[in-house]
Amino acid sequence: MISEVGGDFELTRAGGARVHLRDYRGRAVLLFFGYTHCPDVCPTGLYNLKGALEKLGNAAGEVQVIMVTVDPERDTPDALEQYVRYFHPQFVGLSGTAREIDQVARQYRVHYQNDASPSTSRRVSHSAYIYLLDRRQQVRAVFGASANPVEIVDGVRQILQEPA
Amino acid sequence: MNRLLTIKSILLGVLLQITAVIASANNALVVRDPWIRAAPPSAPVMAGYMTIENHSQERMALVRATSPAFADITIHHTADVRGVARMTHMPRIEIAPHGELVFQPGGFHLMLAQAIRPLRAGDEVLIELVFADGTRASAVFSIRDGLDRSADERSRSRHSSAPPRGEAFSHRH
Repeated sequence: MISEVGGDFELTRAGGARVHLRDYRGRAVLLFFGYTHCPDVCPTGLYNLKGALEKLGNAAGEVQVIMVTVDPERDTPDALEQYVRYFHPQFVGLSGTAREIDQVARQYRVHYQNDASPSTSRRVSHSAYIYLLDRRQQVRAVFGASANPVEIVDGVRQILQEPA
Repeated sequence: MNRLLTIKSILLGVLLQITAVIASANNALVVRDPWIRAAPPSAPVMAGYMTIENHSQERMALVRATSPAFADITIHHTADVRGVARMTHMPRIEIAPHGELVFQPGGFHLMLAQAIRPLRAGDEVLIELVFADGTRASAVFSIRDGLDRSADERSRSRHSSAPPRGEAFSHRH
């Protein structure tokens, strides 16, 4: 059930700042789990999120896109921030310890698994979902990474019509 | 200075077109629409996409890709199994006689790692595809912005007279 998925968490941003999901209350949040060594699915998701923000126009100011890495060993907070900001300057990237990432993944029912390769070529299988959270941070919709930006925009617009 | 550069560009363009036509005439394999999706300069990997057409009577098997622009290229397939994206390394992909193999987001892709230099939209790199029987097919891959504004692009391209990109030529060893 969607109502059992989600919740607050604390992770690390670029520069070492600690951030809570609740710091973004009041905005719609688009939460994406991926990793930077992902050539195909993750850029697809991020480009679609970029497209959604562009289509939202001024309303984009009431939305926060957050990418959480499922590969904290290779994706440091600084590396992740540099990566996500390429897609859009407002995107936030979060990393943490393996245990912290594991905890958040459980909360959001994100399945992820490293294959057995050595670190540099390791591939991570992972759920490729984009979670839409309302202003109170309830998970209200889940999109595939390859969802049409228009679908994401429709969902966000509905959420933004609701009070905080 | 500008006029000299322009003349050189035109001559180079003509030469490439002639070369491409000569090469295509002998081709069993054609690589259509080869492109690489632009990624952050700091990204450790990029993805390459294309359609490989097999115009021969033989079953062809793609086994490798190499490039002067990337030290490490592997062929992968993205599979979505009940919402979990799993990338599988493909050591060999077969293409039926008169068949084609499509590489596109969400499916087959070249995983391009260890770029010699950061690449941006508009750049071009040469990638050589190697087949099990020794056949090689090279193509020029353009780096393209990954945001699909295709509806806008299609209406604009109808007015464009630019030549097609991504010529391919193959030769047996």
